[in-house]
Amino acid sequence: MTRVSDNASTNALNFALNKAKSKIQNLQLKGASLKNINKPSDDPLGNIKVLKITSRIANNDQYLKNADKAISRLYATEDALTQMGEILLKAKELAIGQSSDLYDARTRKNVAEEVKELKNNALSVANKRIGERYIFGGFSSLKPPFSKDGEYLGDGNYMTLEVAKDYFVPINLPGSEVFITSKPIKSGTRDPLSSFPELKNKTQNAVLKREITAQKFHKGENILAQLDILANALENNNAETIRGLLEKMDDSMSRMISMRTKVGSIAKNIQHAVDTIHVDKVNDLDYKSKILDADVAELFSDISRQNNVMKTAYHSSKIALNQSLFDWLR
Amino acid sequence: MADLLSIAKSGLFVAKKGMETTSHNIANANTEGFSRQRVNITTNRPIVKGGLIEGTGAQISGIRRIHDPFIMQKLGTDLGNAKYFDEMSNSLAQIEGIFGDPDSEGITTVLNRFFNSFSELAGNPEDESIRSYVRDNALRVISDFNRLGGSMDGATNSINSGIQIGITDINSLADQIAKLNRKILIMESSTGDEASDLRDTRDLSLSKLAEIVNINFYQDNQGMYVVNIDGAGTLVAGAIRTEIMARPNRETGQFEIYYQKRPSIPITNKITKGSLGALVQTRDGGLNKLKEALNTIAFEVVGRVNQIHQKGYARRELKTDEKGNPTDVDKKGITSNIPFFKKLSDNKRAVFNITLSDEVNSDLSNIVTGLLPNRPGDNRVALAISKIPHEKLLNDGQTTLEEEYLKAIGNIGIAAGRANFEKEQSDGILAHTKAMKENMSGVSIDEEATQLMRYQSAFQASAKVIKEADEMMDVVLNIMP
Repeated sequence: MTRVSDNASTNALNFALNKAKSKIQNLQLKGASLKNINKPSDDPLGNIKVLKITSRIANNDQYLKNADKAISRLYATEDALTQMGEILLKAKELAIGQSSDLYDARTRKNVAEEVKELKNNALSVANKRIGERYIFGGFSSLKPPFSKDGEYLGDGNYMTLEVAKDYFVPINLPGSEVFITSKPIKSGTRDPLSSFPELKNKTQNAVLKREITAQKFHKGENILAQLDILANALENNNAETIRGLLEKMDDSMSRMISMRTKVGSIAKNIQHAVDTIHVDKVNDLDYKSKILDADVAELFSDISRQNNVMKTAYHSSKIALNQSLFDWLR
Repeated sequence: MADLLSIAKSGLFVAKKGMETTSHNIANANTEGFSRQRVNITTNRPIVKGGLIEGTGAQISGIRRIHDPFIMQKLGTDLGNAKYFDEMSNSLAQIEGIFGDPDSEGITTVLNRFFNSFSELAGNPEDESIRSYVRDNALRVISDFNRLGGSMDGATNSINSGIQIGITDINSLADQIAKLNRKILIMESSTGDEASDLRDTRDLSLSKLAEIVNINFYQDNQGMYVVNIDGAGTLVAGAIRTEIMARPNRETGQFEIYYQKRPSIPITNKITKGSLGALVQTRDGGLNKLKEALNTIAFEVVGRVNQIHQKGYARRELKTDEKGNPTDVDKKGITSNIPFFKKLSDNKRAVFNITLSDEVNSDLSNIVTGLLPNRPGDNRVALAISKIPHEKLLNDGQTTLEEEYLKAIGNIGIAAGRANFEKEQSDGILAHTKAMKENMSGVSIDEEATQLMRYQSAFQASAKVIKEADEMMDVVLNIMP
């Protein structure tokens, strides 16, 4: 038989009550916030996972924004390419018509005016701006990339954006590549991080390499110059030159088409990345909620169970305390 | 006849002392640290008379407390453990409170937004308004680092003042024990009895001491306690005590603990249990490491961003010489090698020292996006800066900035979680030991009630004997005419 002192039983009761109460307090906090983790120690690993997922979600949101921007830039480029294609088509129709010997110098002079107009249109397309930015200038985006004479003043660089982790896509086409200048221009940087050896991870620039180098472009020449030559030949009534131009103009048109294909395929890649990110995001949110959000049903059954524990403690203390032999001695 | 009266008188006296002791027990039923007392009743020395050995009644040989020194030792250990984890769980809760729940804004979200703002800038490298968005986010990073630093300094200060309070308490408890040692010695040597109440008070002081610091203790041959701080030195030896003190270290400004007589040898790392042990360990283990980690992260953010930022040229039209090289300086300052944050020479207090460079602070065009001069569409610097958090740049290419930060929070979370768990465990063990002590030494009212009845009836019986003796005396006296 154990001897039980009065203090021992009150201590035991206090211990039991405090334990039950602190559990209830914890559950109440969870119930009020509906979160499993209210401070790191609630679930140290879960806490870290949630923080990681949260920044991944934020990064993905940024990638989505970048993708939107990239696609809108590429579409603007595509529009310009389409317009340029139409201009070339018109010019070629005129050239075909004028290449035969049916027309005389006067007619050709009239047509020459039309071609000059086309050339001006082509120049304005080549110097197309969105906001203050010239889309065909490479990195030199705030100055018109083409002079009046059709000389290219920009550079051959690609602006890239990250549309998925470590996945950079070009969002512009340098004018040198689209409109081929007479002077060869060095093609610019494609890997945006190549100048930063301090960033160790190799970026996944597959898309850049595949799109730009693997695909063989139809050879072309300075389109603006071609239009100039055509206008001159018409003015000088030189059918020979016009005939000579036809094939080159075909090349130029093919080039427009291959450029559009390229833009389209980059846009498709971006769309693919975007789709993947959307799926990732749903999964991330789901996972985060699993770690972070309290299971309401479980929580409330825990609370009511703990409540019963409290009640039992109260009840038993009522019986055990406040009684002694003295109550029975008269 | 006189024998009879004297025997009965001794019975009365013993019963009365028994009742007194019972009453003392009941009166002290709720006195902290009180041990129930029992009268030791022995027979009086028998006498030899007429060839017979006759008993001469009862006497009190002493009043002793019911006490088990083994439980006292165990209680000391368990109190030290329980208070250690209790205090540790409290201080770590304060520290982890700095980080809040993972869904709220914190340094991870702020840093993430800062680096993503460079990604945004990469999409519009020509744009001034995005530059101001970047600068805004940088300012938020700075203020959040400052906030973390402030909170951690606050935690350190409260721990340091906790240490000072602990030292004061230790000294005053040691003083009490030394004084009680002396009093008990004097009282017990003059009476030969045990000074139960004083011993209880001394045990209580000892328990309180064990709650603060890891001690070991034993009684010397005179019944005086010798108390040592485990592995550090003596605190109390008999009536003499040694004072300890806390004083800030000259280099670190952190409070270190010393014996007053040996001010050159800190004993801080010997304090491993009790509330003081928890404070010291939380500060030197968790908090200082966390500070170090955050300072390193702030320092690395500054260094890494600057390293890349300095490679490019300011985003404005720069004059060039004949060879096409841009000027080094123009109206708005230097044109290249521009730091984004003010340079830090080391990570000391980096969370407080992180701030924008004067260049970036004064003009937005000093936020660099491109590697080439006069190329407004060049976004490579912005792209590279936005990649910093994804690259394993720290710990010799082992971890990213974010991983390093998460590791720091993770460590605090794990430590706090473990402290909470251990606290629950050690509380349970302590409750058990306390119950052992109470069941051994505590007052049971029921038991005292039966004692009361026992002594009461013994008293009544002894009184009856006296009455009988008196009547017997009358009978004898009445024989005479």
